[in-house]
Amino acid sequence: MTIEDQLRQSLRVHADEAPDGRALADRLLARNDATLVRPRRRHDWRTWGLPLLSAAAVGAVVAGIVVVNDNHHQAAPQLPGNSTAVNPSPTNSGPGTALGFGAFGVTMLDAREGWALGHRVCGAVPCPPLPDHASAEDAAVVLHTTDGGAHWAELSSVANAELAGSDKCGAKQPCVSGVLFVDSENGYIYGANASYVTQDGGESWQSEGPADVYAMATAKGVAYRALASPAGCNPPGCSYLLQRKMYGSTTWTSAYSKAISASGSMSSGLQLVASGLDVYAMVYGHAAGGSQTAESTLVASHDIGATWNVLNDPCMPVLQRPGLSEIDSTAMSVAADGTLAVACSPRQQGTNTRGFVETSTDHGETFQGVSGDWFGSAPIVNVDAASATDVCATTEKAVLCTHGDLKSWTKTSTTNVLRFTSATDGYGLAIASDGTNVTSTFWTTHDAGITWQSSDLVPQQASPIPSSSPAPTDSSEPVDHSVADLSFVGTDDVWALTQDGIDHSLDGGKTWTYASVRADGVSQIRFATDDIGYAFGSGLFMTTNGGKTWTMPIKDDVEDVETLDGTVIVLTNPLQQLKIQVAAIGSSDFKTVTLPNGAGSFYGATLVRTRHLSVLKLGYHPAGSIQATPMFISTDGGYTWTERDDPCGSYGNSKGSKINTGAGWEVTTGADGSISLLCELRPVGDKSEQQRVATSTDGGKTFTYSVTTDVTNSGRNNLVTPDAHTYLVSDGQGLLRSTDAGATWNRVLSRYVSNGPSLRCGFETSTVGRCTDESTIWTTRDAGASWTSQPFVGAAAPAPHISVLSTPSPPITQSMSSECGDMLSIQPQPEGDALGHGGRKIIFTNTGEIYCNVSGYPMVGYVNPQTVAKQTLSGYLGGIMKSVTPQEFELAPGDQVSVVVEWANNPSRACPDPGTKDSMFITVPGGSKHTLGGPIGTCLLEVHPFVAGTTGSDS
Amino acid sequence: MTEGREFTAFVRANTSALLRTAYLLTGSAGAAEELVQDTLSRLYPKWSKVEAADAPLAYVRRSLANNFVNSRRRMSSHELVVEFLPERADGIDANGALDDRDEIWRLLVTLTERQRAAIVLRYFHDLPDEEIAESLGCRVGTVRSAISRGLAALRSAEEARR
Repeated sequence: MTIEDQLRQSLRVHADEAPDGRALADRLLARNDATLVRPRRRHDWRTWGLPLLSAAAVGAVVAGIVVVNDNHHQAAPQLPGNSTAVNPSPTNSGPGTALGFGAFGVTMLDAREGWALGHRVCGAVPCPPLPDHASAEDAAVVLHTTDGGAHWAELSSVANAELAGSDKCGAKQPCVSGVLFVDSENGYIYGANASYVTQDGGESWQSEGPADVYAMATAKGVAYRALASPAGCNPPGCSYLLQRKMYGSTTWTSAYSKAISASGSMSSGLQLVASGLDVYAMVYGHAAGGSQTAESTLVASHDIGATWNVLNDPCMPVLQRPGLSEIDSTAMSVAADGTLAVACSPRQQGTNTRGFVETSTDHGETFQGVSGDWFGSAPIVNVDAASATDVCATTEKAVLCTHGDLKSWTKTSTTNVLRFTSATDGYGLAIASDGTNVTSTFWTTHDAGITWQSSDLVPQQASPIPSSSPAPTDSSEPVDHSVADLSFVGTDDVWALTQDGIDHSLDGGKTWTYASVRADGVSQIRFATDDIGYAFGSGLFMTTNGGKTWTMPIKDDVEDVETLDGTVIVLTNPLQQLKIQVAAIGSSDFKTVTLPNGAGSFYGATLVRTRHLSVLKLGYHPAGSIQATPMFISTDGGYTWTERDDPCGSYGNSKGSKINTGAGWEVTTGADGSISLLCELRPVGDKSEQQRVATSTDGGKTFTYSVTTDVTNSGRNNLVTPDAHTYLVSDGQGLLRSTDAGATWNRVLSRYVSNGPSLRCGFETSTVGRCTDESTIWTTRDAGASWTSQPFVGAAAPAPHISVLSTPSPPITQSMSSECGDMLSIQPQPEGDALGHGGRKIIFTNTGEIYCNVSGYPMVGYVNPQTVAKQTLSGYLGGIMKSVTPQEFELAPGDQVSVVVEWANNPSRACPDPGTKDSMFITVPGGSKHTLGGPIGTCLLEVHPFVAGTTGSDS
Repeated sequence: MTEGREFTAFVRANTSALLRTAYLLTGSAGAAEELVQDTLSRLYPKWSKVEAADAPLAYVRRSLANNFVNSRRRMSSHELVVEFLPERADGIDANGALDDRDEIWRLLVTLTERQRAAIVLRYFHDLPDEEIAESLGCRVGTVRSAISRGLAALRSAEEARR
């Protein structure tokens, strides 16, 4: 073999060792807004540098409460001291609980989700101690809101991190004062001497090491920060280094090639803002000695920090205006539309001085002055533009906003810090203290600052959104563990909605762990994976971290939710106006889709899904006459729908005068892709209704009908069909089963209850299914022929808070549809050996009568010691070379796929003693474990993906 | 946001392929991820140019190879790298688990960046020398020289090993 051939072979083999691209793509796209991406929130990626916030902000925080430092850019955040309370006291005080919350910073991703950094305020009543903190009052505590600030849940205290300004915060102590989140999961707490990072939405934090972080900003998923340069910050001459961290990278790299400083090498602070591709950093000049030319330095990048240019101090031209002198840049912001706004404040108060706001719509090249007569000589401590036409600015006393003409300003609220997250949504923060009690008030606007609403910023236990930290239970109180709903991710992976929370079981319901508290108004759950799930009822809540935290992407009442094939379909408000919304699983970016010809008149709707097939059946009012209502089919995950006639109505029509009318109410799907409806028929002249089961195995195009069932006159019954030939109907006493198209029925489950809750049943495969009422789970593994019961015990107690840095979850590409599983027969064959390598080819044949899917790899290995083959795309003997990911195959009955298993025969450094085993085990996705006789090597064992046909290779 | 969607679709479809190339260039899973994301980050602001290319994947791959060679070259003089967080373990030891075929792989990492990049582009991607030269920003003669020297180094090391 030539060196070139060896090279080709080595490169091909080692290319397979590259890390999984899906995980990196997921991280890269996590901040993007496309629906294909793994489920993250969509937002404008816009927050602001917090040091200024903590300066202007926290100094100013204080609405005339605390003396505002003239040097507000660098003003060390101070815990509120003596002053006059201007806000009502929080209402949740009580023994052992914090009286209030002193907020140091707030960052919002959008109008709903945000985080607050601050400290507990305990007053005369000791707060509960916090681990790793000498004082509960000094500890940095993070709150989280997902409802626009109406409620805040306490997520975590940052280990050892003290709030800047607290007694424990010194030169060698980790002190934090700012908070910034890049997305729903990735965020930072930072400040003097410390920087912490979270990857789980603030549940846990890890130190990024000693870092004197002055400012942070983020946009487009890129995080920026400013550090003091190595030259130090000997007052008043700080200069700063700019760094950026790209898309989920763990490494900060320099963004600007040199340290930046203000004119004269003296500065009073730095601000960093970002929006879209634009990043601006302004180092504010220092007015020491009354210098009129305390010029600020503004640098700008319009390519996420790759290249930069230096701009003039926007406030310098203001000095040219008649009657003005000594005006300094004091704040800036950049809006979602790119508008750059800079505040120019008079250095001294007096009758002939006034502040201005300058705005630029050409990336800072030119500015236009917005009238400042309204500000008088009060320093402008904060400015933010919602857009080019809506700008707000704060003095120490009030927020003033201008809309449209940029000339007239209106006083709007008493908040001092304000930030806009979009052209209309913004928020503000104000803190007040009376020396003992501290209150933080959160302000929001949804009309670009015209009107504002306020709410207390205090941690609450009873958040409408499940918080990450389950509320501790009182052992004296009995825990109600009755089951409200079950959701299956796999045959043994079960989620349960109980009266007091959401529990999770990985052993089919034998044991449970507490996963989350239960939100008010939640009545059902659907979990798509171990991480991603939905709870719904009064709104749709979504978690992407196994219930630790939740967001609320839909506020309307939700009737039904189904997940399959990578999408989630949500039905809202069916009683008034049916609305169908579809998104990629885990994404908040829902798209509203319409039905052909509209929904028409109906009562309620049922949504079921199986094997690339979604079925939406509209119902008729149960108190009225039987009416046929349409059924809709989607084969693309719910984005487009095709209308089908009600098969039950069609049946009635086909009987002419014998059947007056008919309608399908109960619709279900089998694991084999079949669709079944329970038809209610009303024969002419006979007031008693008949019931038949209509079943389709061609996606709802044609139906066959069972004989009349013998479960009539027992009210509306629930129908479940593990496959097209097996019917299970629940009645008040249990389950009836028929395998002969309804001719005969056997009672397979008896509950011996009267007027108890009805059974709710579902099948995960064609054989494994479960039913539950409020207290018991029944399981079948033979398509409903026999059932075993176990009481639902639920989690013994809420799980302790798990403080672990989460790792990125895999992207959601796995189909939730049924798989071939045990429908595949397995035929091992020898594979020709290559030099130093042995292998076997295994052929799989669909022995079922229906189509099924198979994808990825089978699990292959040997026992004693338990060893599983490494899954690689290709090797010496086979695999896939024409693609970079395993393919999915839909197998018709009789179709075949194959894989190659190979191993090394020659001794090598990694495996000095190669040997063989006499048998191997193999498990296809969704199927049982099989043992095959014959040799299998023990060295460098690999299995390659399924390929079409019998060759084990696509080359 | 059309551009954003195109970028998203590209990343979703091609990150694995790019990682394979990056892994062959760097020999490390962590470095491969950094190289890919750095390359994509640099290209993102001008994504419309990538989209306008006849073969966007080839365009990005060329940029990746060029970025690999140049980033190694400039790292010591221009990049200020501040690593506060330890990198995640690769899970892959490029020098471990070697059998015969891995000797070539081990020797590859001893080549210069340009030689290695040229060899990967020719023997993994089967690119003609003209395209390799375009990717690496050098002349065709330089590519041929790099490959020739690289192969010679591999042969020499292989013979010495035997």
